[in-house]
Amino acid sequence: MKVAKIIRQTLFYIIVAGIVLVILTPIYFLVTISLMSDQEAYDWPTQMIPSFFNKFKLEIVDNEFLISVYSPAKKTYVTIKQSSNFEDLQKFVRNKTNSTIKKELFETQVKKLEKIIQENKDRIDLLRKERDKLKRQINRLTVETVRLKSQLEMAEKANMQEFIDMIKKQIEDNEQEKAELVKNLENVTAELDKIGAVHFSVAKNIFDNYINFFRVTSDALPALLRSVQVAVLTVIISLSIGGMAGYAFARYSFKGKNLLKLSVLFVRMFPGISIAMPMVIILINMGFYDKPIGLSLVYSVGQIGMTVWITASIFMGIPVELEEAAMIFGTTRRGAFFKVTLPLALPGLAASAMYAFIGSWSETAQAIVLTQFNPTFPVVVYQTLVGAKGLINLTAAGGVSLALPAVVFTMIIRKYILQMWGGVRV
Amino acid sequence: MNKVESRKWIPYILIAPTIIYYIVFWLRPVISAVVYSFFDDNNIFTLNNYLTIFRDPNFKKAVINTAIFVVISVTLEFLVALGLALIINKKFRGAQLLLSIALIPMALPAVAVGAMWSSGFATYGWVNSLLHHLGLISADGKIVFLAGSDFQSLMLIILIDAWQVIPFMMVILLAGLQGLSKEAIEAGYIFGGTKFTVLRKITLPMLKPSIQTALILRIISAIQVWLIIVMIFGYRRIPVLLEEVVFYEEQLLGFYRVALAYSVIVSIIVSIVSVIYLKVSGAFEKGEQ
Repeated sequence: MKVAKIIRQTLFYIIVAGIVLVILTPIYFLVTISLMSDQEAYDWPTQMIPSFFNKFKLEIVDNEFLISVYSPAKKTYVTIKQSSNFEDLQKFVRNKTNSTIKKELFETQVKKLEKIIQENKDRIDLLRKERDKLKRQINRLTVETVRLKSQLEMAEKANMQEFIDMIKKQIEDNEQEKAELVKNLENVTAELDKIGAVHFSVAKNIFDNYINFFRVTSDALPALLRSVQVAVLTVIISLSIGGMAGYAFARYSFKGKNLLKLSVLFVRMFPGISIAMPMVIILINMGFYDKPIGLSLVYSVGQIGMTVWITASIFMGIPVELEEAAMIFGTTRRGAFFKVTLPLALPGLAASAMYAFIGSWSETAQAIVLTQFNPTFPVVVYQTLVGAKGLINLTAAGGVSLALPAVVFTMIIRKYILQMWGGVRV
Repeated sequence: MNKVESRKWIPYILIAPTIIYYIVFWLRPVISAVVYSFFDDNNIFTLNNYLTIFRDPNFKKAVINTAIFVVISVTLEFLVALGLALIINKKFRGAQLLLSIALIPMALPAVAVGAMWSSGFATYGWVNSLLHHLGLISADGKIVFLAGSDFQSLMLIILIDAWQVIPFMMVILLAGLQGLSKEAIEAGYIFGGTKFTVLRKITLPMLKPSIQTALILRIISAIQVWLIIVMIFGYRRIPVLLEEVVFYEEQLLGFYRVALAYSVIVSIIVSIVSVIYLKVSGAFEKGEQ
């Protein structure tokens, strides 16, 4: 009996852990990718943790600097740039790896490199020649194998057993030879690394994508400010208008109450984006087109309905007896509301405000239609991804910046989210 | 002021601003959308906007895709959300933490979700990388997620959408569960009910209002899915109803009125489905009490 209980509990917690993993893994990767440099983000397989340092290798080839960065995925150095100009090199490395190589560091490394090259000049030349030769041989073998494989396919179709065996044997030999050459190449490269190159690591600026997102997409910062503006205006409009109706829903019964409850559904049935289209004309006439106030007027349509629901359930949670008691002690109905109910409802109303804020902060569909030159923040992120600009780590940085306030606010109002759905129903 | 007399008016005064707002900023654009959809750019009455839609082979595809999406995603999401709500409602150790974690997808803006999954399902994306790190696929065995058949792609979208929407449904159901009277459920056990019969005969019927709310809101929004699809597949790869509206509005210059006509069609479809649902589930009778 007891064992069965333990097994059941363990199973239960395994399921819970599974749910948590399914929810958190994608979020973890979104954040991880937002911290990655271009080099890391487009490496395969993508690493599980973003790196904090970049390991560089500096060589001198044909009197030019050749700089490579270590890729943990490929377990080898990847060439970034060959150039004789330091500024050029620095800029390129920065773009690709989010690390800035300081000039002093570079110069000391160059001095070190020149010294070891001086010491091993002949050996380096020999090794380089050897390396190039090995590479050529490996290439030749690869091409040969591909050709043999296509021959094998033909032979198999024609069912020529002898021929098939022969080709198979040849392919095997080829692969063996190739493996040996690859091993040799590895040895040569390793030795070259030791005597012909210097290695150093530089800290990576892990928030570089965030900085870049706001710098490269010149719209981002103004768009962020506009989004805040739109959201605040929406909160003000929907809370002042919807809050009143919410109070009426909670305290009075009147004709048409159910119809009004259902009206929230009617509003949702007509796609928001379709309202936005004719609203363009209406807003142009009002002089509000492509302005935060115009957007918030449209967003509020969706938010007022929600606010009515939420505030109604909050006011219902405050006993009407308290108001009545206050009135017995001599205040008016209005006085009772402002002195008793409103202070008690304040945390709930703040939660409702945050909910409206999150809703308009995240709204994208209507914003795409309703903005032309002054997009909101979600539109900028959307365009970075869907448009041709699309760098995945940059978009991820934009996405995280967009998501962060919404997630934080949701956590703050967590307990009210349950309360508001427990109150009023369709 | 006469108190009794004023009381009657107070609720109407309180809800008047909401109604006026709806009339000005919802009813007016809706009516003009419907009107515009029947006229061409020279203000001559025409049915061409609608004919353009019906003649477009993508319309049929969009209707079918949307229908598949709604049926499968709503069913799947509801079942998982109900299961999750029942689990969290057990008040075990860590239930609060699980609730907090489950709320995160709900809070994420659709665009962020799009960025997350489009970076995931790209061939060189993190989903393949994760599978590789777990040893499930080899370095050359990358799965090409985005090149599947239309149906497979739609299923992928359903999974992605479920990830975000399940918490939303779960919250509604959980709120309903927490409002249930414990006595009825306990009585069920006392009279010898098994867990399953108590759930089926007592908990679920009592939870009906919450289930109705969750399902109707979800159905309405499921018919209007588009952003995730466009962010992952681009336009017209998996046509759905609202994606076509945006396509005509955004991508085709001069098809603004066709887009309006399309959105009228979408609204009519949403309304019909909603009314059928509300009738079948019996929400109307309850509303009239």
